[in-house]
Amino acid sequence: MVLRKIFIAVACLLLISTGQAQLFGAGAEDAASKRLIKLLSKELDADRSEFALEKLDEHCLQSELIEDVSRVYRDQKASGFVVSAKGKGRNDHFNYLIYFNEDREVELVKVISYYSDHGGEIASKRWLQQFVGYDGGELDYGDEVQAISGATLSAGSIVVGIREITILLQDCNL
Amino acid sequence: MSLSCFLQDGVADCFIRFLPKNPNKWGLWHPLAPTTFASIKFTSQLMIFDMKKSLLLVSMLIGISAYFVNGQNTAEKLLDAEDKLSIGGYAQIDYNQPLSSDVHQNGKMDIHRLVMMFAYRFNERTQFVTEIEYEHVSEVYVEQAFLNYRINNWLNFRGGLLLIPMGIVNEYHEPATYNGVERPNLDSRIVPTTWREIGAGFTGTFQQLDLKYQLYLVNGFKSYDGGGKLSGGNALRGGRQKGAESILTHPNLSTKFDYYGIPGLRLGLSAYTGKTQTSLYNGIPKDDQALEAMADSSVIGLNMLGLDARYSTNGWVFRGQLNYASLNNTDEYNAFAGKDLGSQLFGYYVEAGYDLLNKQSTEQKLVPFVRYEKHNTHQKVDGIAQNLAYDRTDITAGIGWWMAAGAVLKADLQWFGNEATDDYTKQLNLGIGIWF
Repeated sequence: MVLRKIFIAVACLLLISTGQAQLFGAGAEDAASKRLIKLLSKELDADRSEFALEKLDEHCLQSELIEDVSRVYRDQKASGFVVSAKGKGRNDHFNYLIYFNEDREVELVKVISYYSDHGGEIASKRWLQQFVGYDGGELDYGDEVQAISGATLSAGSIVVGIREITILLQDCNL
Repeated sequence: MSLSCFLQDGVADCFIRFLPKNPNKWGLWHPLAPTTFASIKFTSQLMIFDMKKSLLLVSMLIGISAYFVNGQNTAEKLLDAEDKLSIGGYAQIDYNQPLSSDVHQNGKMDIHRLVMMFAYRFNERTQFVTEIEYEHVSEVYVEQAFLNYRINNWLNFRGGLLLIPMGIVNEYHEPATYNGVERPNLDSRIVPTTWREIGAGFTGTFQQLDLKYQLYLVNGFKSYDGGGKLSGGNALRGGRQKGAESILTHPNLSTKFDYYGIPGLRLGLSAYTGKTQTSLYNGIPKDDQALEAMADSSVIGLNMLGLDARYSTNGWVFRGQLNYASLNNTDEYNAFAGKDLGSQLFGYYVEAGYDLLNKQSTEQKLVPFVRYEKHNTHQKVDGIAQNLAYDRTDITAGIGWWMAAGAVLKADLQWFGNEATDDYTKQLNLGIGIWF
């Protein structure tokens, strides 16, 4: 009798947990794109309600550097792409986002999270400003891109990342 | 979601863990990620006799915890193992050949340093970083070992064996980050690179201001332990405790501000203040003034300032550093310990280089450079004669070929002079530097 009850209890738990996991998965996706929209609207100085995102998972956008790519709709009009990407600093990874316009030129780069001991300087707005307008041409750290002392690894990583992701996006038939 | 239970003394401890469906999400950036664990405890009696109630309880708990966790579970972006553990390192392999027209002199070939870096991230706020160093192959040191807890971008707590932020090279000492086979001599004689001590404090960046700060309370130099540790020629270098059974009698304060708001430029201002440590206080009665006075004379008060600048533009790289230190009680210390420690240290260097491959579309760099250094560990003395040989001028000219950002071959010539003689001694250096 007791065994049966325990069995029922376990079965109930399993059911509940599956249900929650489903619910939870959907919630996470929403939360992620909400956060993305919040960031974009803040950076572009626009209202949150103007934006909508559609996640893309085309094969041509698969890369170690890329975590997510979304089509951006602003006032129901396609208005670019937003890529969340991953870079490597001196002793840890960091995350950044690149927002491209419809011509797939860089409109905005923002470092979202930076954990490493050294190299947090790459989050400097003034430094990231120099990527605006980048369209896939030459992009060498220290040449086209101003070096940033004390952040060699992080800066090198984000420069390579922006270049590769831009080229990937431009070559991808979307 | 996973559920695990442990039965002990008739009490079941159950843990429910919520795993994100797709861990590679934005969630990690959320600053306020709560726990992803839900813990449920119930007794066996409750389980057996009140199954319905406990089922209800369990369902409610799951519901509540899911409510709290939902949308934030991805916040705990569960980094895969590769992301949690970072491995890095750097190495410097040198060939130093003194050049003399009069006498034969041995060249020296040395694996000067081989350092392995390990960093482990426990969660999105907590990280441990350590560097294990093999110096000259046979000496093993811990160069850094600290725990960092990120409260937010501008406030991190940090504790452990820390690099003292003073000048450029003490913190950024990987061979791929500087010109020349050897580190600047200013960063050996006045800033005793690699200077590190055990301590704790705060660091962070103010992104709006493009400003980074560091503020640590650390252990200081050891000036006396069975004999004097500080000297005229090498100043504070012999007093570094390096976290090895170090003794503490006076805590010291170390701060640095770095400004990086102008692209290409980085400016640093460092300050260090405190007193040296001595073994002589240990075990003396607190009312014994004679012994205390003796111990006092083995202590040096130290204030050090540093200014540094790095600027790069269109292939040009410039850097410079200036250090000034004022030491007090040196006359008593020198008399007591039989040393010749100066009461003021002063030095600076300026360096310019140009990347010949700047215009090429390559990550390679070929950088000829020249560095001029002036440093004096007897800038001022108190009660002893000034030794002009400690007033040094070093000139270094050479070239570095960066095959990749983290791999470099270097060659340079150095001229070492001092105020006691008109002659310069010469040395040829060849080196391999790597960093990853």
